[in-house]
Amino acid sequence: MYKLLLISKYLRRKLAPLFAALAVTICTAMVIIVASVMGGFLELMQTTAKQLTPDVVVQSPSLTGIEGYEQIVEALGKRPEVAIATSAIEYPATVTIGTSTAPVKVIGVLPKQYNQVVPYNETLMWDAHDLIDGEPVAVSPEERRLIELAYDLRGAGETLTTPEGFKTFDMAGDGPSAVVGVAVNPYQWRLPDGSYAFDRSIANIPITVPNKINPIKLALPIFSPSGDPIDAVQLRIPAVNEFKTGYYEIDRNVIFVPLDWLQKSLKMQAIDEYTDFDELTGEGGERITRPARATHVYVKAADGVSDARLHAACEAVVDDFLMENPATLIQVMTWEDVHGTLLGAVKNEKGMVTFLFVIISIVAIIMVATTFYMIVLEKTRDIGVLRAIGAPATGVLNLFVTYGLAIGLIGAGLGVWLAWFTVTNLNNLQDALHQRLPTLIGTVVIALLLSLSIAIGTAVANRKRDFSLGAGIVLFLGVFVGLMAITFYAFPAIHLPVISGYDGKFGWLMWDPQLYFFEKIPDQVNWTEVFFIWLGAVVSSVLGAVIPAVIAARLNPVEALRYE
Amino acid sequence: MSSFPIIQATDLKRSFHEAGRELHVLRGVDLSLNQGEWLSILGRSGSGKSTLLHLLGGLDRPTSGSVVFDGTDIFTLSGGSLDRYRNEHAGFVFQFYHLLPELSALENVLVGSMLGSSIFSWPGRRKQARQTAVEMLDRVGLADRLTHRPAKLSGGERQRVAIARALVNRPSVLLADEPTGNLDADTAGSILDLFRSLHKDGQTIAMVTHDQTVAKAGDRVVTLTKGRLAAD
Repeated sequence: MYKLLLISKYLRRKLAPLFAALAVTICTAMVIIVASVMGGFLELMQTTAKQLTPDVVVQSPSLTGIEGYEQIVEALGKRPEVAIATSAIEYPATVTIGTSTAPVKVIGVLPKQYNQVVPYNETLMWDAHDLIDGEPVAVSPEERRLIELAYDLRGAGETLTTPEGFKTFDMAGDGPSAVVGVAVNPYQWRLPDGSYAFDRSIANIPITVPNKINPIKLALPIFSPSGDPIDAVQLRIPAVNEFKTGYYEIDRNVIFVPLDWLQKSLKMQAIDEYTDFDELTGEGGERITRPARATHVYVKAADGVSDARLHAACEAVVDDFLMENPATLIQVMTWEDVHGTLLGAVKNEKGMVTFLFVIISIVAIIMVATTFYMIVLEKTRDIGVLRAIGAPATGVLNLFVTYGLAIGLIGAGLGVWLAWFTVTNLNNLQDALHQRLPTLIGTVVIALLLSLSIAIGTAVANRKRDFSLGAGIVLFLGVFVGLMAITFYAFPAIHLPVISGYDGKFGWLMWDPQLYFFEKIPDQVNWTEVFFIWLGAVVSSVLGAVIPAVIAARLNPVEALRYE
Repeated sequence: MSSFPIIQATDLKRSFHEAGRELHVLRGVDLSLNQGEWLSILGRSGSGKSTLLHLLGGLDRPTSGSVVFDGTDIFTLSGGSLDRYRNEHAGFVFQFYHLLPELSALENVLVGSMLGSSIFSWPGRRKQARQTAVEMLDRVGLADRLTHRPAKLSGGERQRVAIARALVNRPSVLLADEPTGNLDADTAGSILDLFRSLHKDGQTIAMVTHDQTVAKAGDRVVTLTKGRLAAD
């Protein structure tokens, strides 16, 4: 019982444990913040990458494609692990929009089936309505809201209609049409807030998407079934919509077109040929039909089927196919394999950054150990006294280990709170740093001055010379966090005369949404990770206290009493 | 008043290794302390009197010899039993008080009671222990200083708190190491008066001092010279 009494007194009346707890707090918060942001970033990448990537892809590594792919689609359709399988062609091309030409990947899909494999329709940017002169005009969801408000449609209890067919290019009107990635069009700008401009008022922009009048131009090489380059085609196709996944590599590089149109354009449809035909005599030969070719088969897993199980099922189907077509090259990849390079890089980055912060945290453990060693030195005579009045050596050991545990619990607990507060407010903090940096700095300075005034005022009122610095720090943190909360949650409410005038003139952009993949910094906390980091911090604090505690327990009581 | 020996020390020797040579502090001390007796151990600085007191209280272990309490050589006890001996039977009072600075006077006295209690058993004992601690502080004249921390107390008051702490578990013997050595004459006199009062109530006391006047306050005076008792 005496241990609890002493620990509570040591914690309240000494600065050293306060600093040790503060070190644990900062390290815990650092590791949680890094793990949360990097983990959130990875999760966001996985979600967005997954958006238009099927669970499993059966693909030909060659642009000549897989002859008889329908056989694979049909066989996959019969497997219980498969919800749906659909064919596609992924093909390199160049796209010319206005006067700009750039490399892209053209993907020919069957829109209805593709939309069952991945949530394709959800990525489409533009809806349509027939409000103006009977012409379908594409609008983004935000534009739709504004138009509805402007025409007071909502007041009248109406909303703009969305002709279903407009969303998919195969029903967009007569003839084929394309849906392009939102970052493909060089005339469409990514704004500072991460959104894309679609400004019809800028008359000199030659092409905007969607635009059925000015088609985009695609150039594609053509190969024979045996892989020989035989031609190149230039195609013109109107772009009727755009899609946005948030994954820059996809949004910048992909154009969707109808599969049958692309297949015909690339001469990959079923064709008739004559075998052993003698060109000189014009005799011989047998007429055969070569099956159509596609480069990919997209597969969606049935409910409850893991990617690994689906992958195995697809491998089995492909193995059967290869028995009959041994010359064909086919790969089976999960969606994670498809994006393996980038996702792997982010995973590595997360691991590395977390590792670096763990190393920094080890420094904190050493600091805790050093603090404890100093505490033990300072408390040497107390240890002698405790031993003299009958405290066992194990009691002294437990006293200091429990002391470490208390510091760990307090420090790690505060660290979790600080990390949660920071992570969930990262975007607000970003806004404050970018748009209201002078006010933010002013707030901190005022909080500091206010808390110091209270601290000094209290000390003077109590006629104390030794005002507790710890109380001052806690007071400062309290005032600071309070003001920060006001700054974040009632953002315009903080107005510091003169200082606020400089808001917007100075600022630090921590995360530039114009340049990066995502508009917002990931702000989710993974509580499982938090638990293990918290546990690690508490255990580390206890470990930091163990050696000094052993030293304390082994002290000779007589020597301890004589310690100066 | 003296009756039977409560502590019997036989051929106590204690030496230390210092700077490569052996320092013989106690060279074979035989001593008996009777129930209810106030024994003064007189000696110059470095004569080994504090070492002798530490051995009697089980705070240190001898190089050889024995200290028998209640029929048992305390140095044959296990570590835990020796800790319990110090807690229950030996009450130490030091020259420099050695109070725990973060605790109030009452808490300093209560710590001795808390040592034998776990977090579970303490609630049942807390009221009685607190009452005893308050009584002890009242006994030493500090009933109005319960919540004062050591830094707010005078030297004499600190020593009184230390005496109250030593007495809180009603020990068999009070072991005082120069209890007046750090006090002015008046305050030292008041502390000796307190010891007289305790002795009158039957408390066994072993007191170490270098001051002959102080030593004479005891029933019996023994002198320690160069690690040996010169007179008993």
